[in-house]
Amino acid sequence: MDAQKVDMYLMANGKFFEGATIPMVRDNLMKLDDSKFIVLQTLNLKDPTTILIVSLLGGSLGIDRFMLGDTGLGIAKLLTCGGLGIWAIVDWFMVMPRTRELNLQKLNSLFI
Amino acid sequence: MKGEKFRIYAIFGLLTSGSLIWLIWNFLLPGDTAFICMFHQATGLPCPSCGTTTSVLQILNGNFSDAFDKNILGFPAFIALIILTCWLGFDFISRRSTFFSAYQSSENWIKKHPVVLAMMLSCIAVNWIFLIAKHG
Repeated sequence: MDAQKVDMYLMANGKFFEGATIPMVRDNLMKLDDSKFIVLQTLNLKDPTTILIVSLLGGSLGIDRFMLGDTGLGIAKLLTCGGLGIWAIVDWFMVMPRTRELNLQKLNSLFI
Repeated sequence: MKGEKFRIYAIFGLLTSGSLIWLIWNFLLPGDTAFICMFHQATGLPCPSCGTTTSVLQILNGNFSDAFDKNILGFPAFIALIILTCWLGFDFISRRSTFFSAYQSSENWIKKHPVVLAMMLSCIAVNWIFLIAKHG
């Protein structure tokens, strides 16, 4: 893909990835075939801020984990009332990096 | 994959050991456990797992009807606690990752069959409504 397209994509979607991984993402997108651009646009990336809000409001019910696709951990969190509240509080700080990590995994699946 | 494995073992290890400590604490020093629930503190309503500790303690004392009355989730929680303690202990001693493999395959299976997850969540929701009606 040409640099202009990649830079536009990163300007619009940079918040979905960890800052340190942006150069790697850019390099990988540059190598990506133009035909995959439409797939890239339709990739369902999760917004870390939205997940944080969900975690703050419904963290003790495990809703944030269900949204991220961690079904097993979601059930565990729901049945333990957010790990007696401790896990729910820890997740307030862990859920944003985890969302960005999962977004990167999703993006990397395009390159395989 | 290695990081993912460590994450799952760390979370379930901490969860199991924390639950065991919490259970032993409440077994030796019985008291009101409602203060620990953030959801209960914030809304005044019981959360889906409120009463599970008391229910498990009643099971340990052999009062199954009281355990059933307090929160039915105490039964699966008690069984899960025993299985998790043995399974994680086995994996730790034998340096194998049978739990992680089983966890991943069951999670993938549930993702492929969302009806099962929906049924599980519906059961929990129905139980929650009963809890709110009883104690809310």
